Amino acid sequence: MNDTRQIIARLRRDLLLGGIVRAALFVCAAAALVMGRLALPGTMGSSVPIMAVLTAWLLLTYRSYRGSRLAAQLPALIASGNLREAEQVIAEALRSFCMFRGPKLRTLHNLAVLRHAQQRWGETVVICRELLAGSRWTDDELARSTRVMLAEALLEAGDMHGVYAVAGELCRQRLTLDQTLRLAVVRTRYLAGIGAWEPLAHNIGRMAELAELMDSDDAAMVWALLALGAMKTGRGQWASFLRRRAELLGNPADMISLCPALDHLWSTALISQAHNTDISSGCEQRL
Amino acid sequence: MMTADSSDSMFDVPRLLDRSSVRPPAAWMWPAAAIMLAAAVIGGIVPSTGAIIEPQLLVSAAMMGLFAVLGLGAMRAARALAAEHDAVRQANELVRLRRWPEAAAALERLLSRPMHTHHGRLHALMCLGAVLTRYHRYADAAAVYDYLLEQPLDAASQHAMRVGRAMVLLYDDRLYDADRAISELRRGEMAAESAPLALVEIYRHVKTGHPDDALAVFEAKKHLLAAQLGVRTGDVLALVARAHDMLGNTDRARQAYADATVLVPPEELFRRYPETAALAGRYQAAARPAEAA
Repeated sequence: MNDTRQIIARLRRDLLLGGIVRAALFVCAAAALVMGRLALPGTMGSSVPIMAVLTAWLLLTYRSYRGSRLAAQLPALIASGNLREAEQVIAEALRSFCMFRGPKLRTLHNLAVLRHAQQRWGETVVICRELLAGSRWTDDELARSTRVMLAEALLEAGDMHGVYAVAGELCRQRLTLDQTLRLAVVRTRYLAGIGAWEPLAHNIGRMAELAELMDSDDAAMVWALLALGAMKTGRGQWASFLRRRAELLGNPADMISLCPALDHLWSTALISQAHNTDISSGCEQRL
Repeated sequence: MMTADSSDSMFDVPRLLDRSSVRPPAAWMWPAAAIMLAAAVIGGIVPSTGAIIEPQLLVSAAMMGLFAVLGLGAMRAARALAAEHDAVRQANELVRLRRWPEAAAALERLLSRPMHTHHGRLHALMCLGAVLTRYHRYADAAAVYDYLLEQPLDAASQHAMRVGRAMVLLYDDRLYDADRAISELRRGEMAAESAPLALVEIYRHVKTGHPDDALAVFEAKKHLLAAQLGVRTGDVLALVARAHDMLGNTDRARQAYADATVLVPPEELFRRYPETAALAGRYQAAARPAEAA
């Protein structure tokens, strides 16, 4: 956590420095124009200073681009599980000078993605909050993606009030399909976590269909929680249908370890199965 | 819903492949930069005259103007790139949501003019392959996959394209070509851990009447299926049900068919794999809640 706070402090300093450099270059360019207009006959005028400012701008832009190029490989590294290498690249990208805010904040966003992949939820929350505080100067897409990650990290950290606030903000925004799917997982787990079974089972068909687009683990978890919601609200057919779906794609023991409330779904199912077995064995005996 | 026939007039694949070729970056940027540099040098050499409008000031103003034009050009190019990125993402989402007519229209629009990046174009063509397969345009889909396989792709994308191509060849009853495509796939380094390849192999065996081989592949790869195929595990289970049915293992066929139809509706399975239609009526599909049916 201390590392993260140091990184954030360093980033704030770098963003300030970048802003000062940009402002200084603008001031120099304007001063060169004014001084050129006032220059005495026979002197060099404003072209050379302006050229110097433009050259400095281009060199610093190139140097900033180097950091962005380093950061560009990060999503692929994190997705392929090369977390150690990603950590090194992020450290290098954050150390390199960058005149602009965007690339620096994107690198910090990648650090949040890395911490999320490492399941270091507390640090993910701190970085995401820092990003959202600074994202009023950057694109909305980065802010939306950060909010989704923040909601997931808060859920894992058990901060249900935080999840409610962030998910509420996201519900009012236009999300990509992947973001919608991730938010659907958060929503389902949140509602199950607070025991809101009726809202969970509301619109159950649409949610079950949406889960078909998720990866297997998420789909199985969402179906299992929806099945639990259906069971709690007396929708027996949905409960058995979705429970079977969850069993086909996921391991009930793993799901229960992630969400202990699911224990009830399978223990009830086992009791019901045992009851059916008793009935069928009874029938066989009678036959 | 668009039919296979109505999509015939929509996609002229060779034209789309030709027209979507990536446009080279704007050629005026470098001459403009050279002019700016020359103006700066000239402005630096010419001494100040003390006149009200000095040549130096004009040169400076021209330089600033050119710099602004370059900046605006770069901004416009960045906006075009972002718009293309969004359009490709939306087309991909439509394909995933199985909103085929809208996906087809989006891809037709996107690929009918030069694209800005190779990466975006390749993604759009991958979506086109999926849409063409959905509309039973197998020869065109195979042509798109062949074209993609000639492009520089990462190992995972290349494997996915090869799997897509092999499946299309099977759908099109080009069994000899499909067999060769599967053999090539099996020599690849991702073959051992690939569930999509297992699906293709199982389908090939069911289609060619070798249920034992289909079940052998299923037994060897079943630990990979759920994690990699997600809800499409239902496809494999339906084919496994058909294999058991061909061997007369009715109990196993019944169980596999029930599980398959928990994940995928029977009519969708029959559309994807006409061979599984023989299971209809013989075995009970899983009961779906009325809202899900």
